[in-house]
Amino acid sequence: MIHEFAIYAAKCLGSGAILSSLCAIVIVPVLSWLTIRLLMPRIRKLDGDASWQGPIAAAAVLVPAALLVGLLIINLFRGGSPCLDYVVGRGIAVALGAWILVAFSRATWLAVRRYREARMLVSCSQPATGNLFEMARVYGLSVRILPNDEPLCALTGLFRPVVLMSSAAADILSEAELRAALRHESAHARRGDLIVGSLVSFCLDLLPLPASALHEMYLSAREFAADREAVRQESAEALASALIALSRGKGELRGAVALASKDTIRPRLRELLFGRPAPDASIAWRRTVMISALAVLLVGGLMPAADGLLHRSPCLMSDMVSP
Amino acid sequence: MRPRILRLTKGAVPSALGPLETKVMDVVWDSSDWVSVADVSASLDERGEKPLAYTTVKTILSNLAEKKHLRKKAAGKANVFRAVKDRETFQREMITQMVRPLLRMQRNPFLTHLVDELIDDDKGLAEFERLLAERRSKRR
Repeated sequence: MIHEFAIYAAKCLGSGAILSSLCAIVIVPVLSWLTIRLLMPRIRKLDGDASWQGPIAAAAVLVPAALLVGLLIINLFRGGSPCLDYVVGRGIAVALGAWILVAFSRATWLAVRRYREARMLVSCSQPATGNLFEMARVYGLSVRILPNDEPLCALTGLFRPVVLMSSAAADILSEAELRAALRHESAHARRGDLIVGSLVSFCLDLLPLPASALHEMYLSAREFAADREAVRQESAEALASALIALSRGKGELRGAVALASKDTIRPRLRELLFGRPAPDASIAWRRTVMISALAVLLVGGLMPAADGLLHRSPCLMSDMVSP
Repeated sequence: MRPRILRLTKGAVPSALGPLETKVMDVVWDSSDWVSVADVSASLDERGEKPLAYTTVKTILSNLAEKKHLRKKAAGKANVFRAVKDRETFQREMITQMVRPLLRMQRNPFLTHLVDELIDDDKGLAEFERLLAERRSKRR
């Protein structure tokens, strides 16, 4: 049996069809893991280019995750894989199928739970009236007021964006600050940040990818990008002032949150008050390299997936074991 | 429009009301005085709600009293109940309880916060405020 496996493995490795067979189950996760590890430090260096850093960080999670899931599903459900000629191979396939099912159910359950939490906040709020309503209409948003003493301003709604503002925030922010805050949220809505963020979060719940740092990078970059878009039309001071007012918090919450702080507020405030540092000359080059690397990964991953859908793997165990 | 009472999956919000508890609490809140089980049953009937058995209403009221949402006292052979907090205070507290975990870095991918962390450093904030004031005064 060991001899047969050795012959099979040698033939698979030499056939060039390795990714279109069940070998993908071993190879693709390792490749995805390595890709993410390889891209992460390079994406981190795109710090001065937040409008690209965010999408690239998200793509660096989504592309390997989508390829990994796609290849696993194709290989498990299309049949004809050489490994399925063995009892052990069938056992592995069943175990992987069960794992995918459990992971998918868990990720879906978490997503539904979080979606319900967000919807619940909306259902507890009241539509804004007066000046705030008029302001939001200009930006194509709807604002709802949440009766709450903590200063809070957030965007929710994947396809119909709603700004949730606590009554405390609506009271403490001046008109200019409210405008700047709404511009910031409308930038998120325009860029589809909630849709991308939800997909990234789903992928991380679904797969054990070492991508939490990329997720953090994406979350931070999208805030910088939305700030930059907001200050194109509103005053940077007004947005900085709104950030300061909202980051004060109230009561017992302050200490608890400060412990978990990832500290993006200070760099954001610095950028708003002192302007953006001059971008590194090599940043355009880095960005091009990252985008190209992701494109190559996508095409390189899609080819074996398409091959797997269209053809039966040539490295068939039955060819090797039968006389 | 009256906001709905929160109810979430276990662990998300420490205290929440179920659908029947919400209906019963609505009756209690609408009454300014102490109410008995019979009063609540009658009020629910008047509102055209699906009829609830007397014992069901009694159980719900007792549960609410155990959860410290209602005060209970004996009035003759029966017990009477009254809300501990008025509706607005109760809802405000519930919303605060719900927003708190969302602010405490339990990131919800369906929300983006303008500020999702709080600064517990008054000196740092004061410094930024000073810079902001300086910049504004220069503009003038």
